[in-house]
Amino acid sequence: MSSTECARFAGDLGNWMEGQRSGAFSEHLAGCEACRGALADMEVICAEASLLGSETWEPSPRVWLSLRTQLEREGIVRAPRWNLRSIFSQFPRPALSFAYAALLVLAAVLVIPKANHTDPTAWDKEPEITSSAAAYDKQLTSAEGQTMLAWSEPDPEIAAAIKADLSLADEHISLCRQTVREQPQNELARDYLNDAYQQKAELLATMVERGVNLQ
Amino acid sequence: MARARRTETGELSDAEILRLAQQGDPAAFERIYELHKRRVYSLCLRMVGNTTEAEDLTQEAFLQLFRKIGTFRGESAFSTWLHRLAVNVVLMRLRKKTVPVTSLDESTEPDDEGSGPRRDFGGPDLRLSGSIDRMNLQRAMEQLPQGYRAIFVLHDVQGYEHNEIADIMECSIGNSKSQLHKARMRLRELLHEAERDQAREKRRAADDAQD
Repeated sequence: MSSTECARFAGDLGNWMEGQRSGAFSEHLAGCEACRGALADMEVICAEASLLGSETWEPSPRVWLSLRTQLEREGIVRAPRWNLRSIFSQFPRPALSFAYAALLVLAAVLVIPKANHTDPTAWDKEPEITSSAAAYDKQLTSAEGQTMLAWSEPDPEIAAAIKADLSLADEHISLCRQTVREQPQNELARDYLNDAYQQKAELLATMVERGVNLQ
Repeated sequence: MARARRTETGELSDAEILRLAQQGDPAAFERIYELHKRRVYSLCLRMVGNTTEAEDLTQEAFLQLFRKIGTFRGESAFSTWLHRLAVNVVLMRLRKKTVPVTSLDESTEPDDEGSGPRRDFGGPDLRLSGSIDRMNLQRAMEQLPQGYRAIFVLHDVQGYEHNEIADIMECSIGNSKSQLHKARMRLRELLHEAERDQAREKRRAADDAQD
């Protein structure tokens, strides 16, 4: 087959692929192995490309953290804040409130230091932040150990749910700590780390509460 | 507690989540992000071929989404709206680059950018023998000029129609078809080149083994 005809076919191959098929090109195709090969290649490329569409990837957690920071900066969303009154209203008995408060005090006294954005030495505060987090982690681990020793949950489903929540809280803490380590000036990351610690404290307090109720 | 809120939101319908987000509910924003992040990020990554840039663009797309979410009236599906917004964010970024990325109104001569008919067009020795795998295709896509890559990703990977692409990219339907064809032709060349390189490598390895 002549290269001129093949070249013409190449120019119109796009139309052919779009379904606009002429008799002249059908005839050409029937007699030209090279152009049949080209058409087959195009069809394979299209088929493989459509399969690519079903593959997706996960962006890193930093995207959400940065996005959340920006949304808060613009006032589109508010940062979550703890409402102590609503938390304590869950505990009708003063003794339980006290047990829970002990865990929250633990959270409060070891709060991660806030960086001053106008302070040019803010970057130097990383050791301070990470050492506070480490101390906090240690105390919480100790509290968790004591709680787990005394904890006895007869309902296996609730026990599994609480363990899953604890594991999730630990993962959250680990992720936030890593972000704080990498971005010590990121105030939102520190807020999240504080929240993560407080969530864990709250979980432990819930376990204490259930233990008391079950006795 | 944030987690409890998430669980509650997770049980809501998409319309309810959207309504909560329009009211500024932070958990609803997070839920929307969780639901759509993979698709948006994957689209960005395919179009720019760089993870850092794709993450930047994903953030920008969601930021614009959340800024405009109050204006969404449901004329189209929410995911379609978001997807189109993400495509526009990517195209805006590509247009800012120095390379003439979306030159869709350029000449439609078949031989520009080296994608036109060649003397060896479809030669039997160059047929792709059904050996295209995803990795090869992905690598070849990364080598496409950005304008070609964008249109190929939109049409052949993401399944957009030419009229939608023409609308998004502000070009004619004819140009969209023409550019897609050129993109496919260029891909074919790149895949052939890769196949030839692999064959050459094998021969070299075999020669080395004999020596």
